Amino acid sequence: MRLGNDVAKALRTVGSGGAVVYLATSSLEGNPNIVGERFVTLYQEEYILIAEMFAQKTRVNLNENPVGAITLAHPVKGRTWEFSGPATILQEGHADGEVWEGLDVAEALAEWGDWATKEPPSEVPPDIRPPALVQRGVIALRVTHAADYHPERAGRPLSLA
Amino acid sequence: MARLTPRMKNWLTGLGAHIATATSSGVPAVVVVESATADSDDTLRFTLSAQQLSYVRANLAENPRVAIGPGGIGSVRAAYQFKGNGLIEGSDLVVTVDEIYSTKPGPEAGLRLDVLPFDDVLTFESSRWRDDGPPR
Amino acid sequence: MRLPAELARRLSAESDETLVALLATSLSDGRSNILPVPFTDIVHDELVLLPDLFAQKTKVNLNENRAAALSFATPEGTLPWVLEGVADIVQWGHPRRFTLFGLSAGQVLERWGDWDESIEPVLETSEPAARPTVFAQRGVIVFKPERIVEVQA
Repeated sequence: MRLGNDVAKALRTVGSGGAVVYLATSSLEGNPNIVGERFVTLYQEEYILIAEMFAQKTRVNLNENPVGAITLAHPVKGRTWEFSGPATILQEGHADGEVWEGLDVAEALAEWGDWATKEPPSEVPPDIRPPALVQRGVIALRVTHAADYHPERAGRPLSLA
Repeated sequence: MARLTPRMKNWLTGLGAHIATATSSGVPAVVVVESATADSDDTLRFTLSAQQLSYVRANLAENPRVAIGPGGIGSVRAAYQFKGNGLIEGSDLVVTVDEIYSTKPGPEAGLRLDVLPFDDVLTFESSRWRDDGPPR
Repeated sequence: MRLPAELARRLSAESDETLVALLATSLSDGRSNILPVPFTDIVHDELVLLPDLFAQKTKVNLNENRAAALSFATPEGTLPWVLEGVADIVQWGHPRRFTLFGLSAGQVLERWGDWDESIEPVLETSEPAARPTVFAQRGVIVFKPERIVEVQA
C-alpha cells in the first residue's frame, strides 16, 4: 500500500535525533524479537528501509521467516502506527537486476546502502551513538498493512494515503 | 530465572513498552502500553485495553512467547530487549521474563545479560548509562 | 595452554595448506551450530584467530555462551585434534583498550581486522565453496583452547 507524506515526515525527523522505530520479527516457530532502529526512511511510498548494522536475531529470523512489523517508538505525538508486511535484508551480493517485492535492489542500495554519508549521525547523542557505523545493507519492509496501536484502536486499519 | 535490575524496571514502569507477540507460525503483531508494574524481579504486568486484548489474545493463546522493548525515549536510552512467556490474567498481560539482552548499538548489541552474574549486569549498566530510569 | 607444535604450524596464516576450521558453538539451551572458516591464524602458539565474516548464529550463540570447540578438516581428511575452550569476538567498534583473553582490541583489529588486506586474500581462497562473494569483516573470532581431545584421524 502507498503511504503519504505524513509517514515520510514522521520517519525522518532529522535535526532532533531522528525517529526511532521498533522492528518486530519472529522465528518460524513463533519466537518474536523486537529491536529499536534509528536509521529509517520511507522509500518509494510503500517500503520502509532501515540501515542494517548490527542486527543478529533479526537477520536469523528474516532468513527463515521474511515478515516484520514496525511501530513508531519516538517521537510518537499521536502517531500510533504499526506497519507490517514482507521484510528482507538487501545487501551486496544480490544478483544483477534483482527485484524484491517490486523494489529494485541495486537502486535501493545505491541510495541507502551508505547511510552515514547520506545522513551523518552527528546529531545522535554520544551515549547512544553506535561507536562505528558499519553498515552491510538495508532491511526493507514492504508495507501491506497499516494498523493503529492506540490502546483504544489497537489493530484497526489506518488510512494514511 | 532472569532478574530485572532497578534501572530496567524503572524504564518499563515509567514509559511502558512495545510488546511483540507472534502467531505460532511466526507472524508478529505488536501492542504498545504506556506503563507497567513489576510484580517481582522477573514478572511484569501490563494492563491492556479491551481492544488490545482482542488484537493479541489469539496469538497469546496459541503462542505465549513475547518480546518487549522499552517505550518512548526508552527505545534509545534503555537499550534492552526482554523475552518471556505471556499470560492473560483478566485484562492484564503478565509476562515472566526469562531472557534479557542488551541492544545497545555496537559490539555489545545482542549480548545476553541474564546469563551473567547479577552484579556484573549492574556494573555493565552503571558503566554505560548515568541514569537509573526515565527523566522525572 | 599451548597448541601441539604441528597443529600450531598448520593453523598459522603462513601455512599454505588448505585447511578449514569448524567452530562449534551453542545457545545456552544446547542448540548448536557449526561454522566452517577456511582462514586461521594463531597468536603465542596459544590462541586461534578466525575472521568474523558476519557469522550470524555464531555471534548469537557467543552472546550468551562462550563455550566452543574447534575441529579441522583438510582435503586429505580430518586432523586428529579437537580443541575445546572458549571463544568470543573482537569487533570493529570495541574501544582499542578492550581486552579479550589477554589481547587488546587495538592490537587484534590492527593486525587481523582486515584479513583480506593484511593476512591473506579472502576472495581468492582456493576452495570456491568457501569463498564469500563480497568481503565484509565484522571482527575477529578469538578461540582460547582449554583442553585438547585427540581423535582418530
